[in-house]
Amino acid sequence: MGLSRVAAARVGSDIGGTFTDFVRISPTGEIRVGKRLTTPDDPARAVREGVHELGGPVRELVHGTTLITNALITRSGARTALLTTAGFRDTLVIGREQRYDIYDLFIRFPEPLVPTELRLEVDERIDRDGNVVRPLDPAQVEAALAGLDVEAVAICFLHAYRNPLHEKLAAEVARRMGLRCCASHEVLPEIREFDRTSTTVANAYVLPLAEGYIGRMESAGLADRLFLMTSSGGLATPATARALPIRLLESGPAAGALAAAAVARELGLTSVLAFDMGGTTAKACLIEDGGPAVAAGMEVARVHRFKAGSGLPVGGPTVDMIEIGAGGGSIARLDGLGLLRVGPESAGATPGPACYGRGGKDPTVTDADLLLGHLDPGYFLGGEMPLDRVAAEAAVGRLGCHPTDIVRVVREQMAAAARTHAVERGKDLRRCTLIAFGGAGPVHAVAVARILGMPEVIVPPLPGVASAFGLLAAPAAFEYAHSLPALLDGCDWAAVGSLLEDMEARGRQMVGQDDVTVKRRADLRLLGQVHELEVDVPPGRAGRAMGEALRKTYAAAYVRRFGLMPEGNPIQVLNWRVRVEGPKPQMPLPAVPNGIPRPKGMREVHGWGATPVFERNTLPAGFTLAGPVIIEERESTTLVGPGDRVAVRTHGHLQIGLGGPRP
Amino acid sequence: MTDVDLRVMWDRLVHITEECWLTIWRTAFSTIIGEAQDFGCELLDPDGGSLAHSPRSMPVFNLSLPRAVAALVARFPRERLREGDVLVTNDPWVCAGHLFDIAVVTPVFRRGRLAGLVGSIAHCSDIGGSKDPAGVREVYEEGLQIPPMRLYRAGERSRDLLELIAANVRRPETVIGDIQAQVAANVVGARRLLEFMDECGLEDLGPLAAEIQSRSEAAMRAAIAAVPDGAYRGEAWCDGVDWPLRLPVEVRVAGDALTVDFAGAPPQEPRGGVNCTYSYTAAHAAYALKCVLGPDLPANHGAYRPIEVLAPAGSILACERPASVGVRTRVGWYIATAIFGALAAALPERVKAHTASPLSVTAYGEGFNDHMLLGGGNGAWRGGEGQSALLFPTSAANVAVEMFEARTPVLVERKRLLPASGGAGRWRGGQGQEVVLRKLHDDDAPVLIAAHVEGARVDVPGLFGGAPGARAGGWVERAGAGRAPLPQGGTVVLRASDERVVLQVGGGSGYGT
Repeated sequence: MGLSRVAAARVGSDIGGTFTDFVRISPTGEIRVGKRLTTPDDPARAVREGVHELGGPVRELVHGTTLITNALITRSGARTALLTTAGFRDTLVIGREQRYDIYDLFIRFPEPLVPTELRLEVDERIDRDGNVVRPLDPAQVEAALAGLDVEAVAICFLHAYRNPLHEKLAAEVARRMGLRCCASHEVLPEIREFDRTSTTVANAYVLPLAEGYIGRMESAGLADRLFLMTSSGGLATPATARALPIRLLESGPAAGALAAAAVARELGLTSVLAFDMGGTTAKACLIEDGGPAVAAGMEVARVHRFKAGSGLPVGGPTVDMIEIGAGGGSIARLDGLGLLRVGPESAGATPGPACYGRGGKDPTVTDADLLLGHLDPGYFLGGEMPLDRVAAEAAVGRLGCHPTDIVRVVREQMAAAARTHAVERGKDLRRCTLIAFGGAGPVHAVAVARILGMPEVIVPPLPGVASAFGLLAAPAAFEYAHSLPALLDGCDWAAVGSLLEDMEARGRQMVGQDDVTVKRRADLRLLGQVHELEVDVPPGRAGRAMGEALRKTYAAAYVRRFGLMPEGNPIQVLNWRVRVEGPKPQMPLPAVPNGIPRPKGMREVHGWGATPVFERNTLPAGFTLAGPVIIEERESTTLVGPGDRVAVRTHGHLQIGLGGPRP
Repeated sequence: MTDVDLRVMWDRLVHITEECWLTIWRTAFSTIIGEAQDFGCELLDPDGGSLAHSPRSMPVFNLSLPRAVAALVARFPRERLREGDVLVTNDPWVCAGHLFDIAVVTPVFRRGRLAGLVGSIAHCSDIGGSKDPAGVREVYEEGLQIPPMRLYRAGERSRDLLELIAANVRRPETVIGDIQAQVAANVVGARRLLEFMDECGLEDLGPLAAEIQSRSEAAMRAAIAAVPDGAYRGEAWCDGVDWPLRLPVEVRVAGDALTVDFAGAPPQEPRGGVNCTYSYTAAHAAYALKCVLGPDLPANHGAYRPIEVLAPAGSILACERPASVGVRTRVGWYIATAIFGALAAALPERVKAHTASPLSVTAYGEGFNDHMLLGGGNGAWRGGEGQSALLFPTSAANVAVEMFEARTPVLVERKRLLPASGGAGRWRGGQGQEVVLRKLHDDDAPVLIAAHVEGARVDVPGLFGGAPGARAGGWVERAGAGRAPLPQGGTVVLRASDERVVLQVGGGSGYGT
């Protein structure tokens, strides 16, 4: 089956915690946007209503959802059993045995998704080389599962990534018994049993839910074809999504990153930091050569939201982003030393920041922004939601600090996290462009870029519905990986060549188009090391020249990231990866007005004095302004500082060149 | 310097240490560092006072690195240090208490002046010496001692020293590779530190350090002052070498200062490697106090200034050269238990009962030398049952069974919690775990398993009447020959696939009745 693209009305719909967003692109390139409250009792309802509201026949509906994430957080998934190798039923609860906070004696870990009585052992064993040590008896599997009151079964046997034989046999038995099940070699065929078990269990846990939901979406007949966005920013068919629902975990954030990638391609930017700041969190993600970087996994349902290690690990390709507990609703407070901290606690939507006037008493970033003149109390959400300045003043006053302090701390926290994220990936942000979206992103983007020494910021049109937009920017793509461990010096290049060709051929077949991009990467390490480094495989045929080029690429990447490469160690290549990607859909952009705009008013901004305010949808292409200036639209506000310049690009992108002094 | 400047710069320093940490983790060659994460990274001011450590750093390493730096700087005074120097030592009396823990420290220069230091301590996979700690009498038998030395001299690698190390350790490519990872982490840290100082216009870290440390000190003093004055006594019992040993402690709180006094600690043991150096004892004591008094406070030199640790010279908690120290965790991991027991009277809701000693297992043979760490049941606390199989008092992680097997010809037959091993109480202790190992193949290549089982001979009571958890244990099973206890010191050679090593890590103690 191939995913071909046709010129027809396409709709992207992204279910978020509060709102479900819609973007519809007609065959002629006309864009319509919608936003309505999410319907938690039946999330498909808001989608149905929103799609109908935008009208017209739809050829393709691309959907992103937080349903899977929420099911794991609220523990509303299926009653699930786990089959393990004899002796290992506790792998799921033992985990990594590591404290995620070294000074907190009382740390807690998430309750396992499978209770003790449903973790069942099967007498079987496969060794590290894939040899059968103890054969599996299917009758034993049947006996273990007989009479269980469960909705799903996860199967994870040791070394199944190397030899899936026993898992296949066990899955066959379970399916024959009419049980929904998934096995670890299908979900995450990778070494390290805890991560693989955790991921397989999470997948089983949401299987029935995903089946029901996706079925309802299909039968609603909203579009000729339905696709779901995966955590890695690819498109999945309903059949794939039903089998591997865990791959949908981060579909919303992945779509946001894809939206930024689409902007980067349109503007010809090769190195970009996507920066998405909403109410509760900010996310940052590197975009290189037109696509977001992809990481090997993530954590979900953390006990402490921003403490790594306190959640359930989920492996599998995921857009590589860092999430920071810093958003408009982040609460400012003094820590044990009397120093200001902002976030990660958030006032959320209820009660919300003090200035929302819904009973919130804690000072937040949005309150500070209001007091500093960054936001217009009468034009928040286009004026639908008046902000209460007095309440904001009282809240910040109680803390005894100046609102600039709150804003500075939150910006520095975001910048520090983005810097670490970039540095860990060997990237120098001083040569990157920042693309800002999310409600609060454009408010703080220029300041964050300034801290990071970044020269340029882009604020695309419709920054408030960027994720829904990004859903429509996803290409059809398939990725394959294969282990073929060998020393770089002793590689069987003929075997490598046929492996790469085979993976590419399979990918081409799945994408079903001639016009594809093929990306090849490899995981390399110094012989004996525990971890690998992923590098690009140079174009051309597999052979000695490819080996030499890989050696150079690897050495350069190693030094860039790790400072110093030891001499004389042989290089080992472990895995080869091929990604075949169809053409990226052309993304139409909103029409831009003509004429000469005038400021709609002046506003006193702390530190800048009286600052002109422009309405964004009056700015024509080619128009330029010198900062300080404020540009407002319904869902967001862009701040441009003194010394900076903003130019309106062809499709309404705000391009801000930073010239102002460093803080 | 405003409060906001301080907050911002402080966070930056922590980020720099985190980058160092990631560099070691991602480039390590051994399972003990690359999987189990038995290492830590830290930034220090030009005087060697600690400033910030990476969040996942091994607590005892954060606390002992400043002592190592002091010894290194005493040997190579500031005026003799040059840009590109890298210093190294594993001296247990100035570093982390046994020869495996190697400190690698790089002085960072800015415009020719010492601006600060960046360093790490990491547990190398091997340091030579005996694989049988029970028989060891002196540190000389435990492996290679590296006194304070220069690993790099003005950017030039000391081939002599590296060759000497390589000639003295098992699997030298792994050990040297890990040391290189530590050097690289310092390169990354130094680079980031200089960028940071450029951006903030700092000439050296002195004034910033003074501010960070004095604020941290004030916060720690306030936390101590909130504890009622008094002398609080506690104790813990450990297996010892020939018979169990009692570790007494008195915690004296006077105003905003605190003294931990181990007066009465037994004399150092003449063999068996269980002796703690003062440097190690002081680090464990300070770590336990930090957890109780200020888990959220920043950890640096300032925070520890109000804390004094006393231990009698020549005792098992402040042993003198050339005492054997290789498995000093068998005593040192009880320090937290003794201190929590003492402070329970004053702070009953901020301490936890005894956590069973973790177990370190090594598999060694032709072409491999790999570790596996196993956490015990944690002690219960007021309002909570102890966590099961969780490493403490260390920040390490376990090693995935599949990774361990991929690197050694060992088959892990079982790794499972031990039900009912947690000590009873109003709140139960956490469960311990069991692991069973055997040779994968029936070939002629022997596999040496070294497992330092601790907690097999003593029951450590819980708090406020809570019961002890199940004891640790270890034995060898041979087909047809039944069970034999693990030899003292825990080293056993497996020659056939029907020989099994069974290891049990104990349960945590309970809290309340």
